[in-house]
Amino acid sequence: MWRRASLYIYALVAVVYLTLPFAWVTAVSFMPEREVTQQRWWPEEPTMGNYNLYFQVDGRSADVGAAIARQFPRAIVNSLIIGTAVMLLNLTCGSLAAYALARLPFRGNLLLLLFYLGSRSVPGVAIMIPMYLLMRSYGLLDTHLSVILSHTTFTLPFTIWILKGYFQTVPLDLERAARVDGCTPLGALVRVFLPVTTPGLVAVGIFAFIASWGEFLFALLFTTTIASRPVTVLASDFAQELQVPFTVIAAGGVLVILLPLVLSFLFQRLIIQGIGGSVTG
Amino acid sequence: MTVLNPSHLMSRTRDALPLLLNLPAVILLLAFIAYPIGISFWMSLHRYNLRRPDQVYFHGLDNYATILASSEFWNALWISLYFTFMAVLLVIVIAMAIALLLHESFRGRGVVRALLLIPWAIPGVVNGLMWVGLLGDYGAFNAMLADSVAVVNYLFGLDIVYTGMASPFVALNAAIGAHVWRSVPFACIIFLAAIQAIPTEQYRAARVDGATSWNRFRFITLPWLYHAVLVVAIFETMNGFRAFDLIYALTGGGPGDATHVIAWQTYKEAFARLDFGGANAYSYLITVITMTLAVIYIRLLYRRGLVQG
Repeated sequence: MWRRASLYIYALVAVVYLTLPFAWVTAVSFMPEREVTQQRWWPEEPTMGNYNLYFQVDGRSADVGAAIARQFPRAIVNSLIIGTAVMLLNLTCGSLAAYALARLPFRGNLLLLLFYLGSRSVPGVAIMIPMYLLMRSYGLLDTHLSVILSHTTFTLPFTIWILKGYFQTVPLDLERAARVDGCTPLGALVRVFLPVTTPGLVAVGIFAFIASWGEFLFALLFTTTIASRPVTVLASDFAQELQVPFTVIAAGGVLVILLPLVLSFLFQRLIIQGIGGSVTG
Repeated sequence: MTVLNPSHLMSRTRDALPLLLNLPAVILLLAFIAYPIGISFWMSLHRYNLRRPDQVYFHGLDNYATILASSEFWNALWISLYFTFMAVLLVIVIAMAIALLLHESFRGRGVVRALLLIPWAIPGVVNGLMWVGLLGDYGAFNAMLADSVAVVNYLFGLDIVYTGMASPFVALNAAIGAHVWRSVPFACIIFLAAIQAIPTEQYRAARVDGATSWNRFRFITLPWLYHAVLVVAIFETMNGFRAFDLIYALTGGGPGDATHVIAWQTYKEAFARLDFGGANAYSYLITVITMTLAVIYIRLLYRRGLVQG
């Protein structure tokens, strides 16, 4: 009995720790500005006003921060374009490489694996300047492509690593049967192997998407205007503007978080398996 | 002709496909990681300030000498070491506590596991903005901290003045707290996967032998988790030294230089002072530090025989 009760108290503490910061910010995003200064935990007179600011297309609002807020829908589209492209690039390059590493014994596979591991441990700040100069010299600054390329390179090693582990769990007989039936190795990969490994591919794709959606440093460096600026950078623009009420910033934050949050709830099982498998697999 | 067995030729054609399949990934990583790393080192050996683009010249290790002689670097390094050490420690303890909880079976476990993904899904920079609010003048946590300081003052007859994020001590530790909060889920999921891989017979045997729950944790769970703990430690060490977006949004390096972690210092060097030579030397020092730590950890793993080669 005591054990049970203490377990639930323990669980409650964990839940409070994990949710309280986000819950408070969500509550604040529905408060009128004056209620924040009263240090409330719950909006007394809930309002959508903070959110409305982000979807005013007419642009008449003179509120502080409105100029930035108005760019929001466009920034979301930018983030979607970048995230989707990063996801697709990860899936194509990643599944090809992982398939070779998991299935086809070849010389130099250990070397490749170490290369992938090594490139995963390179910190972003270490390559930010050459990357910036590289993008500048190719005229890619302020384009989606520059952000897509940088995001793909820092997610790809993780993708390959996880997919390799996942692919190795699929029974070999499946492809053998396909090969006996006359499939080429590539045909076996595309027609038999990939359909079976869909859960792993989905997990890895969602991973890459969420990582790209949340990345900040390269997005900040490479984008200068709303033509390519993703939501994370736009959200941080508020941090530079004084006088923007925190209720508005909170609403923006919630909007940025919404998509990755929904995705991670929808694909919860796959994500947890994916992260867990990255160590044990 | 089979006697000749042209295995060399055979294996070459056999190797061609897997290498071809790896080609796109390798090209991307060579172009956007390996090449920049090389350029970064080359630039770190140059005097290269964007304000004086006509004066780019090689001057060997001078940038490194300047940095190693500057108090800014040692300050940033010290702050990053403190930040990283505390973050790794707290992430491991908190993530372990939650993982052990999620291993128990109770009603609502699925809900806790789903909520675990909330901090993980939040982008670092938005996390920073969130904590700006939480710790700001009207923030929920700010009020709690102020109250607890008042209680401590009353209980121990002290008169600590609580100044919130204006205090270097609070700002740095708040940044650590926010960083840890976001990092816990990933570590927790890794721990959970490792715990679930422990054979249950061991626990049953221990229980039969009358081991206490602490002893079961100490002598069964912990040894089995050694590998996972080290993996998390490596990962979080690298993450700690990289911490940038949180600092950018939460403290902007301030107050004063209290939260000038080394990644922030590098960014400032490059894009505020436009000293690309010096900043690249900084980046290289970060890379060397994180790689060294990673190698030490991996060596440890090997020595304990926990990594199969």
